[in-house]
Amino acid sequence: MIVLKSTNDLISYLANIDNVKGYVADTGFLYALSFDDDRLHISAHDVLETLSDLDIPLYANVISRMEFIDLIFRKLVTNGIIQVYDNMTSNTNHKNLWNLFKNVRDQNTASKSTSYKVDESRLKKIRFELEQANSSLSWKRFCETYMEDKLYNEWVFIEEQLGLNFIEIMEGNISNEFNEPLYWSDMVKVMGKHGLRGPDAMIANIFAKSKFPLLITTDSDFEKCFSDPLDDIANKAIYIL
Amino acid sequence: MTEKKKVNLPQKGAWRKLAERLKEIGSRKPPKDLMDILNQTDVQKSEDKKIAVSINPQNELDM
Repeated sequence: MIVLKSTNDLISYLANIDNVKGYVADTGFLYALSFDDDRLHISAHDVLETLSDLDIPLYANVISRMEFIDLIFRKLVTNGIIQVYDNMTSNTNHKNLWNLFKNVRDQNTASKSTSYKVDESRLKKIRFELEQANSSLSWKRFCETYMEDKLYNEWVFIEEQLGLNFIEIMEGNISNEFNEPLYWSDMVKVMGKHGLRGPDAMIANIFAKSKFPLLITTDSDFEKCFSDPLDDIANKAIYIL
Repeated sequence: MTEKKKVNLPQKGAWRKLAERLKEIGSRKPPKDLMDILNQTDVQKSEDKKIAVSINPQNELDM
């Protein structure tokens, strides 16, 4: 497997391949394209433009589809919390909330380059404390302002504009994008063999079995996953942002 | 015969437009009614109590 490190590497690699059917992208790449506080935002856009200029379509699996919208949700909550915190007074009656919001603001400041997002446990606490402050009104008003249902209502249309294509294939079935059928058990084997989490193992399995010659990722674990020279993907390439 | 699936390609500038929109949402000022709730202090609370007592003296007379 070939490891690409720059857009020049990418252009040279693609010049030698006929009829590129598409490329597989992981959630980290999609997220980096979406938020300019992500350290990979600019390089992700360079890669996207290179591939778009060549009319090569982007494919993601359904787990990445879910992870992507979930990351956007968590980031919007984070940004909203910081805005509310900046407008809160420290002698508020809602001290727990103020402390929670301060903690989120501090975490965000400390991890500037990694685009901090609230985790599930903080999210639950924040929702609880906001509801304590005024029944469901506070949480509702917060969501109306920072979740913007308009964005979510339009989401499927936005995915189309972004050029996202999703791989949806049933167990044991084959499609135009694959060389062989996809099996759940193969994905589980990848987890055990390389110590990858389920969503990553699913991407690795899809990439290995597909006709797509290229994987774009923000995660260097994929490189180790395909380093075995006996794996049948010698001509495929991985671009690590 | 299998139906050929439509393949999407990114529209020019669509990702940048999304990034700008997400940034704009995240930098909005919070609504005033929300901040009025969240910025309540003990001083305000006791003021509210005083007002509440003075507007309904009938209850006190009944006691």
